[in-house]
Amino acid sequence: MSLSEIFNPLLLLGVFVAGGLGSMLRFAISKLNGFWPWGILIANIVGSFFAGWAVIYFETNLTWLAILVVGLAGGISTFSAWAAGTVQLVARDRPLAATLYTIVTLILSSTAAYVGLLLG
Amino acid sequence: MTKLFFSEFFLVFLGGGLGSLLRYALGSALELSLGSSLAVSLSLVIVNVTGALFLGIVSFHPYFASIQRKAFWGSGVSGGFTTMSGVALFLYQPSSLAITAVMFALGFLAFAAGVNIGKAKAGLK
Repeated sequence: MSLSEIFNPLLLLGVFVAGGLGSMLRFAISKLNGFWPWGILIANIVGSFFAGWAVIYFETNLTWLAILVVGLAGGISTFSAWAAGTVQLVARDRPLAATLYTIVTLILSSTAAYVGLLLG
Repeated sequence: MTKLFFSEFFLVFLGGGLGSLLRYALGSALELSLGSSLAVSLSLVIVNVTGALFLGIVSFHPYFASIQRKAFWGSGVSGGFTTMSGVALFLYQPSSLAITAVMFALGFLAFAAGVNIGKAKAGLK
């Protein structure tokens, strides 16, 4: 992709809107919060699955790849909220829960991406 | 309450769009200058670690105390700027495990550092 293709105004608008919608979805699910930050975990799994699926399904279409993989899936999923949840668990003297939450996030997100890659 | 709820959602939309756009721009710029494989890992580490630091600041800094600013800058910009789906896909590339481990460790420390910066400004420390 050339510079003018990457920074095409319509494509940028698409990434903005998709990233915004994904973030709203994550924000809605993030209200699920108890023993673990369940909502963020679910958002990361859903986002990873969708990214895997879209990467294959739109393999040759760089525009849709940017909008759906970078924008929508990237907007739904998040790393900063994982960091926040983990630091808070450690601060509340629950280092084991923080470790498990991290391992589960990594394993389930990568598995979801793999299933998406298979189905795409 | 309903009105506040919807304005909060709208602010998350705007912030998340902006954060995602910034992540896209950074990733693309790095890809053009460095080539694909190095750019993917480098941009992931940069967005996730700086985004975690920023969310830590947003959580406690007095400037971000209002619900509206937390929605826009926290759940929106910082949430949209960082990504886990990118990490999940990255894990299927060779030698990604060590980089991911370092990124998670740095992200954890960065958020904690952000919290300290925010709390210091808020006079909590």
